[in-house]
Formats: sequence, C-alpha cells, structure tokens
Amino acid sequence: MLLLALDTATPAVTVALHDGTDVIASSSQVDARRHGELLLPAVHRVLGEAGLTLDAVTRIVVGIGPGPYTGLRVGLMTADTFGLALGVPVHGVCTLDGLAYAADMEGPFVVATDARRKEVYWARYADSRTRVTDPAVARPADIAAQVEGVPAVGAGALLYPDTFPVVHEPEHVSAAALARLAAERLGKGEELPVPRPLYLRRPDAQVPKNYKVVTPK
Amino acid sequence: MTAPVTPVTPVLREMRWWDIDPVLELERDLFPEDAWSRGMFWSELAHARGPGATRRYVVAEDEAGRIVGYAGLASAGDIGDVQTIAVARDHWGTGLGGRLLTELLQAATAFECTEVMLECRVDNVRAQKLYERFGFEPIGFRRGYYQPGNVDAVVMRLSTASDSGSAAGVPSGPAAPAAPSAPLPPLHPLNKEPRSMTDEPLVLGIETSCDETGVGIVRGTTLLADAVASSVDEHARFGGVVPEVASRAHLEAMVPTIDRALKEAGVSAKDLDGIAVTAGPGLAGALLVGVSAAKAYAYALGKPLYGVNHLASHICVDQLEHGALPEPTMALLVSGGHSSLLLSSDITSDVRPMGATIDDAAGEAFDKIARVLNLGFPGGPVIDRYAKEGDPDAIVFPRGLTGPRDPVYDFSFSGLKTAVARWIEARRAAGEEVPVRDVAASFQEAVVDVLTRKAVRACKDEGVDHLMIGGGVAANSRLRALAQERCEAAGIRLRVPRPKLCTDNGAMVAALGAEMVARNRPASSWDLSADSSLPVTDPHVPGHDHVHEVSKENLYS
Repeated sequence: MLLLALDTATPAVTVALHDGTDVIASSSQVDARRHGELLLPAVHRVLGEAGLTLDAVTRIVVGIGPGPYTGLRVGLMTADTFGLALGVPVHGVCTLDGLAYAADMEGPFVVATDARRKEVYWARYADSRTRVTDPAVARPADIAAQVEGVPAVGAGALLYPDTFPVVHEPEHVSAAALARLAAERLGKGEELPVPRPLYLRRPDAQVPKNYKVVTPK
Repeated sequence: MTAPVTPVTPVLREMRWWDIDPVLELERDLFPEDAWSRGMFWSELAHARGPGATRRYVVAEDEAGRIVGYAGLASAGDIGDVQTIAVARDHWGTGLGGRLLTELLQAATAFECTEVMLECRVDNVRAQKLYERFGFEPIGFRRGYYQPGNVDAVVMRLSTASDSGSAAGVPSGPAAPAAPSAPLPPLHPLNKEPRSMTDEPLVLGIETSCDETGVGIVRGTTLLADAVASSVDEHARFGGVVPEVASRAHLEAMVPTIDRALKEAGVSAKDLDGIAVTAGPGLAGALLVGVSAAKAYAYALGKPLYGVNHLASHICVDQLEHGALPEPTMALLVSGGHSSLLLSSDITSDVRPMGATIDDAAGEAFDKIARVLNLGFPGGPVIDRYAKEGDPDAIVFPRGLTGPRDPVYDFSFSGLKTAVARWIEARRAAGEEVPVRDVAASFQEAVVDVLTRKAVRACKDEGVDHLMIGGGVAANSRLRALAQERCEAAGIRLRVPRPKLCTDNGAMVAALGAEMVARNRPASSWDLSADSSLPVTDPHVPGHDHVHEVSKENLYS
C-alpha cells in the first residue's frame, strides 16, 4: 500500500506518503494564503524524496476540515482529481482528528482550530483516537463552560487563552499524522468518511428584500 | 414572391454549420459502418471560409428545404482530394452526384489544384463509373481503408493540368497524399478521418471563473465536447452570483463534469496533449477550484498545464465555430462581468485593450433592470424575450459615453440603469402600469446601440475588417442582429459563435489551450495560482522555470 495524505483545511499545507508501515516522506508549510500555489509542488517534492512517482499511489487521504473554505477546497479538489486520474480510492479524515492523533494525549481534551471571524472549529476528545462530539464552529466565550478544566490542542486554542488556558502541542495539523491515523483505521477494517468538505457554515448571502429604489425621496 | 414554374431540381449551395444535423442524418443512413462524426464535419467546415480556406463543401437542397446530397473537397498544395460525395437514396440516378462532383472540380480549379484524388469503395461500382465519366483513372488500392468492414479503397486520380507530367510532383504538405506512382501506404490511421485532424493538439479545458463548471475538449479548432454544470439556479434567489455558493458547486461538479466531457468526446485522458484552465480573471475562490483540479489532473496524467486568460478564451472560442481567427481580430466581449473592446494580433501572446466599461458590465445592467422589472435572475435571456414583443423606440434612454468629448471606445451602463429605474419608478409612483415589453426593448436597444456603434468604429479606426463578439451577452438576439446589420453596412465581417459557446464554458478554454500547444507556448508551472484580476494583456500564465519537464516522468514514462 502507498497512501498519499494531504490537508489544506488550516494554514498548514501538508503532504505525506505512507507505505503501509510508516510515513516515508512528508512536507509541511504554514501559509494561510497560498494553499493553491504550494500544494502541488509539495506533492512533487514528497514523491521525489521517496524516489517514487504518483502512479505508485494506491490510496489517497484528504483532510475534510472543518476549515476556511477556500483553502479547504484546494486539498479536496486535488485529492478528488488525483483519484479520478489514477483510478484509486479517496478517503476523508476529519482535520481535527489528525491534530488529536498527533497530540498523543490520554484523558479528555479539546482540539480547536482558527475559524476566523472570532470563532473556532472545535471538538472534544476522550483520548487521541476517540472524538466524542461532532466538529462544530463557535465563539470561544460561548463554549467556555464546555471546555473548562480540559487541556486544548491547536492554533485555534492559542488564539483565545481566556477560554483555553492550557494548550498542548502540536499547533498545526500534519499530513503525516493524518496518514498514520488513516492507515491505522484502514488496518482495523474501519471505514473512513467520504471526501466531502465540512464547512459548518452556510454561505454568507442575503436574499434581497427588494431592489434599491433610485428615485430620490 | 415568385414560384418557380419548372420542376425544381435540388439547388446546390455552400454547406454551413447549421446543415450539419441533416447532413449527419444522411451520412448515417448512407454510410452506417463508417459515418463521419459531427466533429469531423465541424473541422472540415472550419477550413471552408476565409482567405486561407482549404475546403469547399456544398449541399443539395430540394424545394422543401430538405438536404438531399452533399460533397466536400480539400486542397493541399496543388492536389485536391474529394473528401466525400453523398446523395439521398431517393435521388439516386437523377444526376445529382454528377452535379456535386462538377461543383467540387470547379472548386479544385479555384484552389489551383493540378490534380484531384479520391478514394472509393471497391464494391461501389456505381460511383466508380461516375468518376470514370469525369475522367478519373484508377491508380491503386488501399487495403482495408474502410473500417470496420475492412473494405479496400480504389484510389482514383484526375489530372486537371494540361501538362500532367508536372502534376505528379512531390506533394507540398506533409498531410498531402503520397505520390500516386508509389505503392500506397495506409495513409489514414484514423480511418476516413480528415487528415488535418490527426496532428492537431487534443486539449481539455476547465473553466470555473463564475457560476459555470465547464469542461471542454477540442482537437485543434474542432469542438469534441462541451460539458457544463451550472449553479445558476442556486444563485437566482439571491439576485446575483454568490461566490461561495459557486465555489462549493464547482467542487461538487468537477469530477462528474470531466467524466462527462471525456465520454462526450470519446477520447481517453491519456491521449490528451495538454490541460488548460482559466487562471483569471474571475471570482478568486471559484477560480481556485478549477486551477486545483487542472493542476492535479495534468500532474497525474503527465501532461503540460496551461493557465489561460478567461477573456482571451472568449475570443479564441470562435475558432471552433468559424475556423482560425483572422489576425488581427477585433473583439467585443460582453458578459455579466466584462464589457471590453480588444484587439488581438495573436490570441496566444498579444491582446490589447481598446476600451472597457468604466462602471457596470453590460450583462450586469441586464440583471439589474430585470430585477427592477421583477423578471428574476439572470436578466439577459428574459429581457431579450420581452424585448422581442416591445418597441425599441418607445422610450429614448441615454446612450452612455457617446458625447463628442467622451472616450471613444469605453462604455458606461450605470447611468442608463439609473435612468431606466427612474423611468419605471415614475410610472409606478403615478399609479400607471409599466409597459414591461417596451421598457425591455428600449433599454436593450440603448445597450446594443452603443456596443455595436463603438465596436464598428474601432474596426474602422484600426482598419480591421472583421469583428468577433463573445461573452454571455453575445447570446442576445438584438445584439447579434444589430451587429450584423451595422457590420454589413460597414463592410466588416462579423463572427459570433453560437450562444452556447458565448456563455462561459470549458471548450473556449480548451480552444485557447490548443492554440498554446500549437504555437509552442511555454506551459505553466505547478505553482500556478488563480489570479482574480489577471490583466487581459496576459493571454496565459507561462511557467517561470522548468518544473514541467519532470512531469513527463510522473505516470506514463
């Protein structure tokens, strides 16, 4: 098995190759505004590092967010199209699950990423492999009571120390963690989510009441 | 109106693209085993007009307007090649075949061909007799020329020059038939396909700059597939395109639309010569979905990637309709996002803006007025429909930027929009009924009057003798009609693609991509980004290094 993992749901543009045993090459760059430019060269670099070509890939895993939409779609569209061209399956993994897995923590904790607009994407975990709430988007102050007393993981938590006073590593998700998590779950025969984006918000658009009258009153 | 007194024989006239459907019907009836495809006819007709024309296609039309025969000739250097002659079964034995052949031979003379070649099924004795009557002589065979029936062709030649010795010289172009005296190799690996098609670049184009997910496939200037998934219905209730809604829809639609285009074209992804994508201008988030897909597809297939300009694509699409673009070309681009006059001497490298709107795009004005009239979104088609029943002179609305001191080639539609809205509001305030049809017609007239007037003026000023109109508003029937009228009066040839190619689509991107391949333009890099404000002066986004060369090792090495 050769698994290609990628995630662009957060400011991290991250790619990894997993050969069924472990990660054999990976790349992570943090740049919230250049997902589109950085992803494909990163894939190319990682393949080169492993001395492989894309046609050797037998499975694709992509972070499905939640995350700011424009960047999120870069990873999903790339994964979908690779799947089409190579004829290999494409799986999704919740980006927050990747962060939780990389945190390698026992006991309850929360993962929070930056959702912009003064909000975070977050979920609660019983341990690194077990998410106990659906991913959600919220203002940190509104969930303060729910996350009180549990440590947090992720860049979203670092932004709001009032709500998340104790924050553990890592700050950013890595495709390496995503790949290991996916390989572990697939190995156990578990099903992974379909590669569809978790936007968690509706598009900002108001249905206009009426057109603006131009005649001065 | 005078009715002909003698029994009408079928009339021969030039074949045009709108004849393709009836011709295809006849083709499939007469040659069920190896009928030409629609794409082949499009390709042939693409070379049938203009100064560099190499084809002559005629149809025979009976008194009821039915196509009962057709024929085509290709010229390559001084050799003419009869591509096809077909006569409907109920007209066999009427001499129509001979009339069609005569027409082709006259065309061969006009092309200055010194000899005319043709292939004919060995078992079609009737046709061979006809050709012999015209002086054709059998000169050899081509084994298994007609597939899938594996029927041999007899090759026949007619020397039209007085000195037949010179006619046997070496053909000039690589695509010309082999010298007749040599043993004939299997010249047509793609069986009966017009030979010009086989060398032309096969390119897939992806367009996501606004609300249409378009994937098109072309071979050179031949349209093979044009698959479009539109999210317009999702935007309708918002009265305009919502960027995030469009971007989400692109992600959903992309893979199925690529699949559909490949099926429609009947080609395999591995045969593509390149992937083209709209890199801008357009909605940033929407563009990025298409660019991501195109990059991943090109990379995975080991094909070059061409990030191209949306506006240049709107011009280049006309190559699929009317053949190679004249150089230079004057183009009027009118859509919901753009209203520009552009002059291009080479669509892959030189597009110059002559003028553009200083406020609203023309299509935007249609949308806004449709909203004031409560006609819904998008406004273009519905206003066009209502305008057909209205009086364009009923209300005189202002013509923006047409004063003596105004910029000659720029447009302005914001003032017009306000004037129309005020006129309507005044009626409503007075409790009067708004004459929707007359308002629609008069508003539309004001828009197309200025567009066509300035476009014709630009052609005259620059000494350009043809005008291309593209973009979604080019689907407007009044714009097409008035442009035709004014171009004819000014001696300008008008080129407007069919409406489906005027609105956003992937075929136009593929058309420009194919031109990039044909002209050896450098491919884009893997870090190509979407540029929402890509200047019209950049027809494509070339790569800045040689990242691309490694791409070939990806898959099929």
